[in-house]
Amino acid sequence: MINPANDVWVWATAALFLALVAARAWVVETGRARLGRTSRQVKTLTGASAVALVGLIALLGLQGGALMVTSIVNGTDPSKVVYGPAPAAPKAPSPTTGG
Amino acid sequence: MTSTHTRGDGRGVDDDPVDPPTTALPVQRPRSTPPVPPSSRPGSPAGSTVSVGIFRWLSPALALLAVALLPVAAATTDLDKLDGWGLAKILGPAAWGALLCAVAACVAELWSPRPRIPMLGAATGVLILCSTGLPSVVEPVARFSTAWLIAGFSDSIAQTGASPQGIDARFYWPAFFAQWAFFRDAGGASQLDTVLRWFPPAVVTVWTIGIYALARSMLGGSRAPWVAAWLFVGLNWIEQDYFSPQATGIVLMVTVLTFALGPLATRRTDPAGVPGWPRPHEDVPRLSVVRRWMVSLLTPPNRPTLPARQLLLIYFCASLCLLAAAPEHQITPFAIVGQLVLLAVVGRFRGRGIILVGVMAIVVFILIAGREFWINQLGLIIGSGDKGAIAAGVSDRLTGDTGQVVVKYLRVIVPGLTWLLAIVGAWTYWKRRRDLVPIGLAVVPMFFAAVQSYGGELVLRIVLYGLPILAILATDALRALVRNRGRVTEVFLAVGMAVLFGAVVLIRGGNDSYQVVYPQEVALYRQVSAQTPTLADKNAPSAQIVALSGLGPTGVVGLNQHGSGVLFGACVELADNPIPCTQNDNRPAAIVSYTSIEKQGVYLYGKTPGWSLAILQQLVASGKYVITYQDGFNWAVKRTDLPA
Repeated sequence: MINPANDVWVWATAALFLALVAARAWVVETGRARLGRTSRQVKTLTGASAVALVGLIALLGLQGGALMVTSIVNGTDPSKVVYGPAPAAPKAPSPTTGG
Repeated sequence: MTSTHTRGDGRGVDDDPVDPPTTALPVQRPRSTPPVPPSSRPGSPAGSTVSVGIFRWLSPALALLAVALLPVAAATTDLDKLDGWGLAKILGPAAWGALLCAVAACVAELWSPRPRIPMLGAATGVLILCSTGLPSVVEPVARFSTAWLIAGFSDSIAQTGASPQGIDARFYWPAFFAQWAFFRDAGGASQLDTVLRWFPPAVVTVWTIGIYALARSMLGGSRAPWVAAWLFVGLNWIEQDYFSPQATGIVLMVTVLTFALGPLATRRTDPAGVPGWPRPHEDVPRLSVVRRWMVSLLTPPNRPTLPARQLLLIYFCASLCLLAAAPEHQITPFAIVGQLVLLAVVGRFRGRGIILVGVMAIVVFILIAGREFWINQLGLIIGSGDKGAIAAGVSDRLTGDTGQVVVKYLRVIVPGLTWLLAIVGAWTYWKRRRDLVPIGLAVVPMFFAAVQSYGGELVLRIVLYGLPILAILATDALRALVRNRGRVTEVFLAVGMAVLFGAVVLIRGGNDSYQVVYPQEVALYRQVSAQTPTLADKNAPSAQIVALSGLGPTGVVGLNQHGSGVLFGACVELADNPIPCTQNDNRPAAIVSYTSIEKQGVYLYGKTPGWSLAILQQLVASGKYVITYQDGFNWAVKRTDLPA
């Protein structure tokens, strides 16, 4: 179930992912890499970025992503899952009992 | 991509007299002779020399003359005579003269033996002012009702500091509105009327800078990039350059594309001489397909020849653009990411990680920040809510009097011709560089039609997102046409440029009879908004100020107090059903109408002149409304049961 209070973790993970990708870009571009070899720093940052990305995807799935995907695949209305079914319209008064 | 050398005909561009190359870095080489004598240009009479002195003052003089004619054009244009043909019909000789002078200034500098970049830039600015900016010059305030409504969005955020709920779905992408609310507050201004008026020429100038930079990377040469920029301005009839999020979105898109195809571009072949494709020499037997693919796969993309810190700065700026685009506009980020994915698949740029950044920004923003939107309106995202984008974008709009229909057919023909010319350009580009990726970049936005629903304007966006690349490819076709054909072809193309810019003024101004806005209409709406009482439920139909039709400056203020003019029940537009929609307790608090609404009915819907005044009489006769203001076709009424 979506919990808006957990959105902060999504934003934090997204920021962490950006920071890791930026650090990796810095190491790749400023390092003196040789053709065909990847430095240990780059490998570490690539792995950390991948972990952050997987965590982000998981959090996104929990915070609405899974609901959105199932709604698109099944053609269902996500608002009914989140807000519940719409209240039934009041029954029209019967001519025999109505005042 | 950064290489500009031709391969197909075995001739480098170094000896190209039509469009000599430019270099990214200045090359300091001693020259014993002038670079290219004017008499060596093809088609020039043998032995003739063109004086550089003429070109030194000709272009500035023409540009100054164009600018000087603009106030005359503004003073001699009678906007009351606007009809179905729009702005072009009422423009006087001064306006057309200014446009011709601007075109001539560009052409004169282009024909100069040594074109000056500052002068070409200035002439391009004047050209934009005299074509795209002509309505801003001759009309007293900004046209286009959507621009005023968006100014109202910014006003709403400036008043409360937050996006209002339940008024408009566009508020789920609030970056543009919040940005201008911030600028407005920071500047100490109370409204953005002047910004609205001059926004189109200003933003098109920024776009054009991007097109020039992009064309420099893709075409090379010193003249072709300018032609690409002018072609872009001349073919841009789409009018998405009004005060709007998508206008800023295009700036971000062109910026990212310029990075990807410019400083981040990787070359397709290995500079060390690995046999690639196309074959390097005519007499070398071609390698097998498998071998060529293997070589291509195993050859790492070349690093751009930039210092690491510059590369990192470019990554940062590109990522910033992608992060900014996500909350800015609904579909522009998809266009950018789609084009980047294509470039990444074919291995054309370094820094493919920025695609991840872009995708992450879109997904996180929509899923988290736009949660309420997709939960309630998922159909709008996936396209199940509207199946008629093409019908709404093209065929449904072919209505109106003769002028309206002619202009609308021109709006269909011009993109068709643009695509035709671009396909010829793609063929030229293929022959020269064995590269079909650019035309693919123009095709990518078409996939939105399949996956997204955006109403009638989706078709316009598809054309607009592809236009930068289409203009550049079309320029390549024109360059191939001019090459070795001499001055006569160049004169022919210069005349074509004047015709094109005349056409763009006609097409863009085609709806001006009902898109023009007057200062008194803005004042009218502001006064009505200030005098209409606010209800507790501001989104209730009975709290709304509604225009007879969705035109004019409606919504420029008071969105927080009076909503955006929503009617109750099945009522969509008051002009269609004025009496049934105004007789019960849910009727609007106030109703306004403008001259533009009257003219829209006459020229677009074929109504009899005076139809809006007839509705006014019906409303007053019903006893439900009382007139609070009337001047010609501008009028306002309010509910009789509201306090005075």
